[in-house]
Amino acid sequence: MSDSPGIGMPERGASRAEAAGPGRPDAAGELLRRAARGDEDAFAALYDLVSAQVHGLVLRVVRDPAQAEEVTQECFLDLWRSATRFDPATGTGIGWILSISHRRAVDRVRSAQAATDRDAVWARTTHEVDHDSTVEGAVSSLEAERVRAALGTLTAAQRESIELAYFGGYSHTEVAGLLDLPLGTAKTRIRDGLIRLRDALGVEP
Amino acid sequence: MTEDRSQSVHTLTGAYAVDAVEASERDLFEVHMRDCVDCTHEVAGLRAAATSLAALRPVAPPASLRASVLAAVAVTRQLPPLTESASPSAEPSGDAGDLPGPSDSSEVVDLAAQARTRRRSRVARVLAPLLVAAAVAVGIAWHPWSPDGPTRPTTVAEQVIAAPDVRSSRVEVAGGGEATVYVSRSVGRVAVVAERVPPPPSGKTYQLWFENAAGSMVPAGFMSENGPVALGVGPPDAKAVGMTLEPAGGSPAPTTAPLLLAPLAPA
Repeated sequence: MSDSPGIGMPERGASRAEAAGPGRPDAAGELLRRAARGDEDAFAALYDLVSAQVHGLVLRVVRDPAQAEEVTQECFLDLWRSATRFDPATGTGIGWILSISHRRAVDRVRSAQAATDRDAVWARTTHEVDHDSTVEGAVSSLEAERVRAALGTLTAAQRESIELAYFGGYSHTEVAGLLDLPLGTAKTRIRDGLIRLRDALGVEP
Repeated sequence: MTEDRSQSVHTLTGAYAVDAVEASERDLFEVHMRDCVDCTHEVAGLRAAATSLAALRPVAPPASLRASVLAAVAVTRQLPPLTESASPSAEPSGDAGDLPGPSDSSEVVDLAAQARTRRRSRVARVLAPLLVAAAVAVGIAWHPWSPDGPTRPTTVAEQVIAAPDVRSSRVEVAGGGEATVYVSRSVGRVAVVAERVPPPPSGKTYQLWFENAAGSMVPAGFMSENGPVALGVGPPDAKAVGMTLEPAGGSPAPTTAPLLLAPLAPA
């Protein structure tokens, strides 16, 4: 998989999904490695490369734009402080960055929102799952199409459970409650769905 | 030792990979992953699959955020690289069964070190299982990050959390953060996992207590950082676990109101 000629360097704020794979350099990982040695210019370049992916994920989980801004800022501070902890042998730079960002976003949602607020948020979420986003940066790149195609190999039930867990920030127990499933079914659907996604994408950690 | 993969703990890999676990389950699963290479490897792969979902809808943050982040970066120190003993949690007390007394000066709190350890502990919790998965993936012998041998000895706190008869309860900590209290009658000890508890003021420390059958609070150890800590061997029929803020070095009895007080179920 490769970019078509002419795309060139990503513009500030735009993003290009970084995929690992043979012949595909891990640009985010390389910038993390330099940032780990205190290279602030490399970190600025990393910000330009990944900030839209980080913020897009955070915004989708946290929902409230003001809080999402705070969480995104906290993520980048965390990435700077702990850049030395990134080990390229464990996976791609963007994978590490988004794992940390996701964890922070979920922590914010769980600590900030009461259960009643979150039920209201979920009601909104279910209506938006199928919308194409017109927000700046909506992606129709090869990578996004590849992910969408892979998602198509999941059952609707698996997609729904993963959507609630990953983007809703709900625990599997809460997902079971929201979908009126036996305890353990949500957990199984999430795992089975992710396994299918992993296999369809052919991702390596 | 063969593992029955229908055991419920293994099926938590998916939920864990998308952070869809409550704190007590997460702690237990992280303890499990230290001894289960299959789960560790699976989590790494499922996490990578999940992060591909994140790439679907990038949204540029407000332009002003860039300058704000870079200004903060310019005045923020970075963590040093991990050394070979990258164990995510310290074990400040309780292994020998001796309760630390008020003169135990090794528990004096270093604010900056505690904050560093807290961050390292959180990030290490994310990274540690990925490191093991990588070792498996590239086919090299699994080198532990402790020099002690093929398996790192389990801490008392880990034994409690992983015990088959463990019971847990979650409590708010006055002043910030939450804690999960784990009790195992078979191990005979109590562990507390604190999260997001702010560092104590300079010159103070968080001290842990058991409430004995007579209703008195007896010293049980100290909480020097967020993460798991085992309390010292407690009195028989201890009724509750508590935590207070005390002068550095501790006190023989609480001098302030409890920041947390968790009842222990009768045996």
